[in-house]
Amino acid sequence: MFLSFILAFLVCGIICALAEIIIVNSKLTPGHVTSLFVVFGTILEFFNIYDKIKKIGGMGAILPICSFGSTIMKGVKEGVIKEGFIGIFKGVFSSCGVLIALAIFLAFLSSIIFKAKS
Amino acid sequence: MKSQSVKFNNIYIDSIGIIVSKKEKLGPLGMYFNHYIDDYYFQCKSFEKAQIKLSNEAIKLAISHSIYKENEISIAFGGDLSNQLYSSTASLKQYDFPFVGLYAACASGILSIILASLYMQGCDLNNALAFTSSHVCVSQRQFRYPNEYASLIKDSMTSTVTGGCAVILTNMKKQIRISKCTIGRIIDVLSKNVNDMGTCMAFSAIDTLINHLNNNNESINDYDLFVTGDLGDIGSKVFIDVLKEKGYDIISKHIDCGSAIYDKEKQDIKAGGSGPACVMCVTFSYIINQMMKKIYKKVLVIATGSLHSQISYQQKETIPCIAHAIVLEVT
Repeated sequence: MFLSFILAFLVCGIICALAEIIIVNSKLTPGHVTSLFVVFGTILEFFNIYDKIKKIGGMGAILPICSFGSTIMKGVKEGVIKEGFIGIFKGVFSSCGVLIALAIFLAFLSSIIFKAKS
Repeated sequence: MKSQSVKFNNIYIDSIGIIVSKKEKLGPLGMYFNHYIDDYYFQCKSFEKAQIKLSNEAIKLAISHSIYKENEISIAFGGDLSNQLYSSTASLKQYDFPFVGLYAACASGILSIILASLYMQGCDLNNALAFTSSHVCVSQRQFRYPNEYASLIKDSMTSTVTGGCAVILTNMKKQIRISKCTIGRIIDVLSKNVNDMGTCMAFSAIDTLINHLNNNNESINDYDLFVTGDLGDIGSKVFIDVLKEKGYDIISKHIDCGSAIYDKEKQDIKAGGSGPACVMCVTFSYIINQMMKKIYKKVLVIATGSLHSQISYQQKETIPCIAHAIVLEVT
């Protein structure tokens, strides 16, 4: 169990370090890097690699934004198997719709309860 | 170009109103700021309303110390970074005098003084008001990301000074006069890096300084001090080095307001301060204080502005910059 903690930190840490290297050494904005990592997750899931990273890192692989991309790709794969071509579009939000709705709701709650500081 | 520079016959500084935030008050020049706000909301509901209140308070302070009453002010010139100059416009709602809004990014305050002086001289008026303001949270939300986004701040980034500064000019003889001005030209060094505006603004400051000296047949020895607005540490180095290559060695008589207003180590600021309030608050508190003590008798203040828009840099356009200068002299 202790090993799973260490692996989670390692996997998440490596992903974050990669993001920081990209931000510091390039002119990409944080918005660019977020979008890039969602696409990374999508591509890794397409080749079934992200599942393996999740097995190793557990929460450390689920927490970063790449897992959002992988969730989208999972939904698309299921959609294509069920409904063919149209399934690509139907499947995009089938798995991650919950994530998006929850994020919006929590952001709304935060904006009501909290006030921005400097 | 000769048309850039104008001599003023009778423009003096009557009164100054400055209000900053706690961050500036805790900086190395804190003792020169008499009024400051404790929290960025300034008891308002939004940061934008706070900036309007800062601008308004600075104007009230200037009028309260002035020989002129509120209904005797002839005209106001002002500008700031907010979209459509709303902060400047809204801060004057209670006043009856005419107003010209102007935009020169971080050089807006000094340009207000230039235009106010030109108008006074051309129309033979006895006073004019020039003002500006800026607020770190408003600028962050407008130009970069809202603070809640917690995006990474790069080492070359400057932080907008939160404050308001208003200056009332008069044609009656006072201790400090505005003797000359030089209006800048647009200088574009083809940089697209909005995270390091100091470097591209340095070239416009160099252009204005050289043109100012040439147009007035002066040399760097005629001035006790050269003040730049907000080049920051990185921009200042470029400014000094390139000037030295061109034969102007001013390293011993240069102060950059952006570098001077914060203590970088203690206050966790990267490259320094910026914003239209930066050059105005430092010049009209610290520099004026030193001039009253006759430590500096003739100072060239070069305010720089980077004239990009939010859309222009997203469309990968280059950043044109400009620098406007005034000469402050002890009478």
